[in-house]
Amino acid sequence: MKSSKSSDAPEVVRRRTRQRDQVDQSILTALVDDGRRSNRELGRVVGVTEGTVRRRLRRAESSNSMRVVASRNLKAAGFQNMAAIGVCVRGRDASAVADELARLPQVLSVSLTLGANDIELQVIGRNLLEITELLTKVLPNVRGVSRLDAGLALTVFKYQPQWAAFDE
Amino acid sequence: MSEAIRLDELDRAIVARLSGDARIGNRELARELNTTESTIRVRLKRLFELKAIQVSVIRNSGQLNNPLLAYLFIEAETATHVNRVAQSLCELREIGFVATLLGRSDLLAMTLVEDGAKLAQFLHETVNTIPGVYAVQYSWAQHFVKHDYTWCFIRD
Repeated sequence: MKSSKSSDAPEVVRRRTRQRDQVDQSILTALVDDGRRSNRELGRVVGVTEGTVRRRLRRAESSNSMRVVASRNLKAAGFQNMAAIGVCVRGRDASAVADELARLPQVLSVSLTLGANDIELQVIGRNLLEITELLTKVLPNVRGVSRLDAGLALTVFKYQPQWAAFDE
Repeated sequence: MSEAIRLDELDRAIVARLSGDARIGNRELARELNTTESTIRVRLKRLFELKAIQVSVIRNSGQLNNPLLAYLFIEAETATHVNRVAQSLCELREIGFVATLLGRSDLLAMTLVEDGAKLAQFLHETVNTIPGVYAVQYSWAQHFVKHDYTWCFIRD
C-alpha cells in the first residue's frame, strides 16, 4: 500500500486523526500489543514495508496525534492506595483551584466537572496514612477547597488511559 | 501486598527517557545514557518482567472535536454483583478505568467519548444494560487539567 505525501496541512491532519486509514489503524493496534517492537516487525505484522511504518509513525508523531510512552507501575513503585476525590469549591475560581491541585505529585488526574462536585481528582498514596494526610491536611489547605467527597479504591480492575491532553 | 521494586539510577534514567518516547531503539538509548546496548537490553528485560513498567499508546484528546470524560458512579443490585459488574466494565474497550470503591458508590468507571450524543448512546445502550447494574450517577468533564500518564497500574 502507498503512503501519502508528507507535510500535510494541520486541518488535514486533524481530519486524518478522525478518519484514520486502515494502515494507521493496524499499526496502532500492533503498537498497543507491544509498543517496543521494531518498525520492521510492525511492518511484517501489518503487511507493509518498514519504510511505510517509519513514515506513518513520524507523521502521527509530528501531527501530535499519538505518543508511544512508557509508564511506571504504581504498585511496583510502592503505591498501594488510590482514591477518587470530588472537590467542592467555594470563594475561588474552580480552574485556579484545579491548576493548583494539578501541581501536587500525588494527584494523578484533575478534571473540571459538571455535577455534584466542581473538580474530580484521582490521587495515590503509598499507604492509608498518606491518603489521610492528603484528605485532612494537604487538600483542605488549598484555598478555595470547600468539601471533599472521597472514595477509596478497593480494587483497581482497569487503568488504561488511552487519551490524554498533550502539552505542546 | 507486593513489595516495591527498587530501581537504581540507570533504571530511572531509562524509564525517564522512555516515558517521553518509548520508540527509541536500544542502541540510541545506550549511546544517550553512556552505556552498552546489552546493558540496556538486560535492564529493560528485568523492568518488563517485574511489571515495573509498561509501554502504551496514548492518543491526544486535544484533537478530538468535543471530548467528554465521564465519571460513572455505579451502584450494583446486590453486593454479590459488584465484582461481576467490574469484570463486565473491564471488557468494554471504551472504558479506561474501573475500580471498586469504599464510599461514594460501589464502583467507579471512566470513559472518554468524542461528543455528548455518543456518551448518551454508550450509557443507555451499553452501561445501563450490564446485568447487575442498579443505578448510575454521572459526572462529566470537558476540561482536563492534568493526566499524569507517566504512571500506570498493572494488575498482579
